Amino acid sequence: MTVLEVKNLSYSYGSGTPFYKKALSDISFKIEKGEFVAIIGHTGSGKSTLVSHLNALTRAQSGSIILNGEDIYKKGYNIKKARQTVGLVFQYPEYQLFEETVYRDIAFGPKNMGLSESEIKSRVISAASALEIDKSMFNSSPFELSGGQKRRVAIAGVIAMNPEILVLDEPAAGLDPKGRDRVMRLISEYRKNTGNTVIIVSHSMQDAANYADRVLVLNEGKLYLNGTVDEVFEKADELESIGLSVPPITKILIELHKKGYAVPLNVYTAEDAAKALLPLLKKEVK
Amino acid sequence: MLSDITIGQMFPGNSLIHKLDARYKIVFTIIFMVMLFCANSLIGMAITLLFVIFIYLLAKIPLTMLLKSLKPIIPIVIFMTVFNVFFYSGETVIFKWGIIKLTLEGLKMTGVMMFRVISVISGTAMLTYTTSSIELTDAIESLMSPLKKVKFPVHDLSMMMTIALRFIPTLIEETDKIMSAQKSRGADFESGNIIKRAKALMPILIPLFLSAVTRAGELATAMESRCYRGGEGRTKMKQPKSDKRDYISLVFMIVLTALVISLNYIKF
Repeated sequence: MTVLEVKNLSYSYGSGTPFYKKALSDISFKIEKGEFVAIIGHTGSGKSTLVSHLNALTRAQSGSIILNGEDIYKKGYNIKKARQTVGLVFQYPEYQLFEETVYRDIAFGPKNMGLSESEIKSRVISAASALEIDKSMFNSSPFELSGGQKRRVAIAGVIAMNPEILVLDEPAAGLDPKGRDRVMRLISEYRKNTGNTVIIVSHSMQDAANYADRVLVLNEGKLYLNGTVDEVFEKADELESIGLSVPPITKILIELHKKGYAVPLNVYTAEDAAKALLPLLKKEVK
Repeated sequence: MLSDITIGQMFPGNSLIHKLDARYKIVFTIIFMVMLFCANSLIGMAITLLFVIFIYLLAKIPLTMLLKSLKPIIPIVIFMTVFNVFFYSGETVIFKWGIIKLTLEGLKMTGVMMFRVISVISGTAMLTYTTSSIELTDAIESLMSPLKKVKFPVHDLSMMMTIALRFIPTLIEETDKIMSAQKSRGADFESGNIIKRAKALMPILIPLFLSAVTRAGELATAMESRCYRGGEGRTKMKQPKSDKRDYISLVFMIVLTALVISLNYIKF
């Protein structure tokens, strides 16, 4: 079932001034329920602009966005509904924290939805446990936490609204490797447990390959590629021509393949690479 | 929406106006204001308006930009017009209804006021349109340097201005970002009474203040680690220079102002 459809979306900044810039041009794609989609592209390729359209924060000059079968640009459409259906976690979301306690910050979204006190409580607890935020942290100030903890609290604040589609803009940016893996793993588990759709924006090919089912590649405001992880990373040369690359491990295998070794090319993790390379190693020893 | 603010924004270009010495441009702006407020004759005002348009054409700044920067003052202009037109006491009554009366003098006065407000905004906006904030503060520092003799902290003041100007766009961008983030969490800034709306601003103000304070601390550390210690003995990479262009423009400005003022005394 298609939950989100973007049709011929175009958006430009500052028309009529010297700062005019076309940010998105004629973008179309569909997203199915429960999918994990990664949007990748260079800085300035329009990734962040694109996601800010998905919950109607930015309105495109042309094109349409169909959310659960309804056009969100249609007259009389309740924008609040779009914002509840599509939960958007911004880049460096820890800068949005403001409440006195962690609990109240996570409860901010559900409270704005007008839920009952008991419903809010259960939402906060389940969102916190999804992000591995211990109950003992509930009463501390969000400003006392470490960077990684703040990030998880901020993400929990959006998840607590129980959005059907969770969109995260660079959720792991600026974290240490351990924090990165943890956040990405938790997001992936969240999707498995709830069956909700997840869209992440990333410039890490590794994250895209490890977690996503499908990859959208943006280049200079245009949708350059749209396909499964295998389909997209198969086109290593095309990705390189727009300044992107395949995950580092895949690159090693591609180079080996070029040298004449019989190795599979759709390998993205260290474990899989080990499985693929071990037989070769045994042959060489013989 | 917030990014629509154009006042104080620079328009990069390569025109004569862009190339003028920023110190002269500040002086010209002051001369222009004198000219503007001394212009009482119809011809004098026409010359001033033509001068503004001439400068915009010379600097190659689109007039649409000017109109955009005039937009925020429209309510003020309307307010002034209404007051002046109907409450100015004059002799030649055109129309009267209760305490409201329309006089020829009132109409004239309104015309003059509108001319002045529009000219003052568009004329002074030219300074920031064609001068980068660094040039501008350097020029202010240079113009105020005589005050150093009386121990006035000229350099510190200009450094403060540079930093403040530099961070306006950053803070606007940040406000935009935080607002979007809170809106995504269902925050509502548009409905409810005044108290409710003021409360709704907290989720924006707290993160904004916090990041401004953090940023200030980081900037201070960065400046200190590059050995900044105030203005004493500090040299400039770009020394302000004036040349023929500036002298000619200065003479032109003075002559034009003299002409506009003298037109006040000539009866046709």
